[in-house]
Amino acid sequence: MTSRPAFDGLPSAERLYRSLLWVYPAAYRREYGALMTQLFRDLRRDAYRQAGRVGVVRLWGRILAELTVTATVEHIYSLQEGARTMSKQQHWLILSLAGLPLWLGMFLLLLNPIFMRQMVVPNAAQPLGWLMTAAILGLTVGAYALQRKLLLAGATDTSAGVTQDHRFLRSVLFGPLLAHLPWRHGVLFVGSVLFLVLPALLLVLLGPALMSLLARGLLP
Amino acid sequence: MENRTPEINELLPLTAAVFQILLALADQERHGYGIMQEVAAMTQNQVQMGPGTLYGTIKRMLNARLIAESDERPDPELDDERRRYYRLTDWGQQVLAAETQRLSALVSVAQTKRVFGGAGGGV
Repeated sequence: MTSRPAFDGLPSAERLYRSLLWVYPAAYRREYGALMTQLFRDLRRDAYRQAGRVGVVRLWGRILAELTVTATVEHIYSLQEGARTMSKQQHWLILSLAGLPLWLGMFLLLLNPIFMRQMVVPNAAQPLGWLMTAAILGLTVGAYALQRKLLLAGATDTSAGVTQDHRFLRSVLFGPLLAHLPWRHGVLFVGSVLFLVLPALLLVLLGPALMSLLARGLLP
Repeated sequence: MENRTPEINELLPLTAAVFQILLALADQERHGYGIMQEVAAMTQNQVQMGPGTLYGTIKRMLNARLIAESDERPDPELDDERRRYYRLTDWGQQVLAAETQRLSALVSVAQTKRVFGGAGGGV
């Protein structure tokens, strides 16, 4: 092994790494932040001993890439853990709050032709309508994600993140309706369908049709 | 809410990170850096876990009761007391054995199909 000059600059690198740990959820950071920083110190020392500054740069590349992925994963797990401790009443409250703008959006969309007719600029109707549809669909996706998160949280068991059968990934992709059909939450499940999925479906099905009718001047 | 201990088969196959950490702890208790070094040694440096992967996985393994924090310090003279040591639980040992058996069965199948023949060596 080649002899390297004294290993310097550690405190600043360590400070930088410690500040980057803010991307992790607070609880996780409190539990593991000091240990991760200590591990980073060991890794940086090893990298420097083995390959000098090039090794340290390579290590930073690896650390940053890993940080991005693992922080995202930890946030998802943290959201699940938070939701798991909620009572059913709290679930209902959040579902209602998430569903409300969706229902509002749907009614706005249904009323859209009337609004459009009031527009002063004649050709603005179509783009504005699509923009509105996109905004409401965005809301739908957001609300569905929240519902997925809430229902999924209750179904998470101790095997989460240990087995590689991708139950977690499957649930993220398809949501609880497909991943957790066994009616784990009964009434809550039906409620979430009524509150979120129904208006979302109506939006998707009716929105484009209304837009099309409006564009062709078939609506009064 | 559900908090039962799953059956071993429900946990298999393990993720690579979980299996490697279990294997690293199979012979002795280790701290995070020790686990990381052991995993690198076991895999001829092909797997180098970062701090995020290591402690994220450790957290979930603690939740699943596959490992536990150890109160003992294997080498107090050389040890930094801020480090946390981890050990396999009985449940962790059972899961490790089951996963090893599963992988071993796969290797046996691979041997009967002579997949190692062209790669320049047997197992």
